Amino acid sequence: MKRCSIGSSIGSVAIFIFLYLPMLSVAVFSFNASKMGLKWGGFSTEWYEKLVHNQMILNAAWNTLVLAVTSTFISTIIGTMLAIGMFRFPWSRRAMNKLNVLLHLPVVTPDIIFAVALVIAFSVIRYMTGLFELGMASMIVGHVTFQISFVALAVKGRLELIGHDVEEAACDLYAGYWRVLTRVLLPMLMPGIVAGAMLAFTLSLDDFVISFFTAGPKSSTLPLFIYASVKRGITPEIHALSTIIMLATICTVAFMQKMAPGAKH
Amino acid sequence: MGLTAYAVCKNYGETRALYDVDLAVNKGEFFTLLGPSGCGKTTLLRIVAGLEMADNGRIVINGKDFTKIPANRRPVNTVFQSYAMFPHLTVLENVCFGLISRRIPKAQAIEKARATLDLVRLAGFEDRKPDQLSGGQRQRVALARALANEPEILLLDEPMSALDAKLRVQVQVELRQIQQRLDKTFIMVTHDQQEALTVSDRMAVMGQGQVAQYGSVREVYDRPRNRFVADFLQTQNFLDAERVGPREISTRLGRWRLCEDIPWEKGCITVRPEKLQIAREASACDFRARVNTVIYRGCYQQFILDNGLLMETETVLPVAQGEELMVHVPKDAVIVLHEDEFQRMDLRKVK
Repeated sequence: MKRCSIGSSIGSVAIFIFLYLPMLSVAVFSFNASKMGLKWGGFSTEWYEKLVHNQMILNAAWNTLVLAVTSTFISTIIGTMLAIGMFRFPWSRRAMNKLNVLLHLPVVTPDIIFAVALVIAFSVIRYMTGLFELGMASMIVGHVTFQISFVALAVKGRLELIGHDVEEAACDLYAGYWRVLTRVLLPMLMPGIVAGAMLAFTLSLDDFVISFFTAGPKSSTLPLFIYASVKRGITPEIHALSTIIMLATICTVAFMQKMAPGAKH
Repeated sequence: MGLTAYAVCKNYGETRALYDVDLAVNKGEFFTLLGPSGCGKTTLLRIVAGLEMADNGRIVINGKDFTKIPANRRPVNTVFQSYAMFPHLTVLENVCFGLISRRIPKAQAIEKARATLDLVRLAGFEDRKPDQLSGGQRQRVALARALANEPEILLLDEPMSALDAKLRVQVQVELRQIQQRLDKTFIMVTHDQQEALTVSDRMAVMGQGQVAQYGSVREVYDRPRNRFVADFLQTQNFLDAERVGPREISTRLGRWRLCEDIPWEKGCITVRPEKLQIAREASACDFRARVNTVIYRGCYQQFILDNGLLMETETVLPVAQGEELMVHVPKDAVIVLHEDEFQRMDLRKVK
């Protein structure tokens, strides 16, 4: 029993090292003064300073942020509406099963297939209307489409947790639909909604495939920028940039964990 | 007139939850729907509340038809089994919720809510959140939240099922006192016969989506109408009987005289264990039986007799295992059970 638990704890530590060592080394090398590869040339924050003055990187960062915030905002609203509609309307069992499959499909569909499908859809729209050039707008639409499912699933978990009673009690206490929604349902769903939004935000922040296919010439994001620069060779600047993105992601995930449904009750 | 429900039917797919139920509850009355789980009592309560719509039938409250009107426009309020507190609101905000929904000015609503919290002895808890309260306190908040709206009818769905036994008895008495002080119509659902007897004026025993018997608690307890009701109210001793005279039956334990007419040739009777008496003389003896087991219950003792009957007496009587007893069956102790399973309430008889 004892040996088994020591073995498994060593195992899990090893797995965590395997997971986090590459990222840790990126963070370490971002402070390396030497320009080339693996030689340690002393501690320096030079690359971070350079980063701040690189207009292309700043542009990409701004694009990433605009894309993530806008798409998260839209998908959170639509996803929450979808979850409430799906799990509070008395669907028949068969309809419910089908809707459930539809809801999970975007989560399990490979990004690349999703991206190609979006490109085709966009070009059909462009062919028919002459509008809708690839760019920020198409990227937002692309991100929203895959984020909705994640938000809806997070809200669904919360909806199942709180049950019907409380809404019935509100109805019984003379509340109309709007009052039930704004005073009871939404406040109680808030942890689920926030968790869903955070998840959507992180997904948008580090998405590469869908951005790559739907981006226009002027709407490069950080993942796209990193990909493009890595092709010319990995510089410490990229390490610095990656470290910052990693930190931002860790912060969002930590916040999400705190707000996740079930954490409080 | 408090509530009248006419021929209420409700089906869930293939399952029949309520079948043609009539119900009349007088104004100012504490009425209980008693029955085993799955008998349709909660469904009936939810239909009265408007949380569920009946497939058929009518719901009339104080002379006005509410059959098609949704829950938020009915003059009734419910105490839910789970209490269904709003966890993100304070106790005071919970109690104010219904008043604010009806656009009563805030100051007035708060005043009313405080008065109601006072009534349920929860003054001083206004700013707590529901998860900072004990089960008993939550239950009283749920009661206050419903009562604050001064509903025509208060509905209680198994309000005490989450309380421990000792607290439950205390709350039953309090609930009865509050109902009498406010002179309101209360309708409660429960599966606990003791609870039903303690709090109600009248009750309906339900089974399989129908009403098996209506009546005052005393009527139903003393004179259960049929086997189902007698079984649910635990009369314990059932005997097959045959009619041998206008008021005389023959059972496997002998011939007994009764004080009521017998509606069948062959049927079933029941006798409560505490109604059987130990006969002092042979002339009063209706049957003899040997005591198989003596069970000491504190305030009374039970004997399991060799003929299968159960008997209860005071503990002062010294009875030993194996002893032969002469048992007297008083005339009025025998309850004649009807063969029909269900009863229709005569709605004209209720005032």
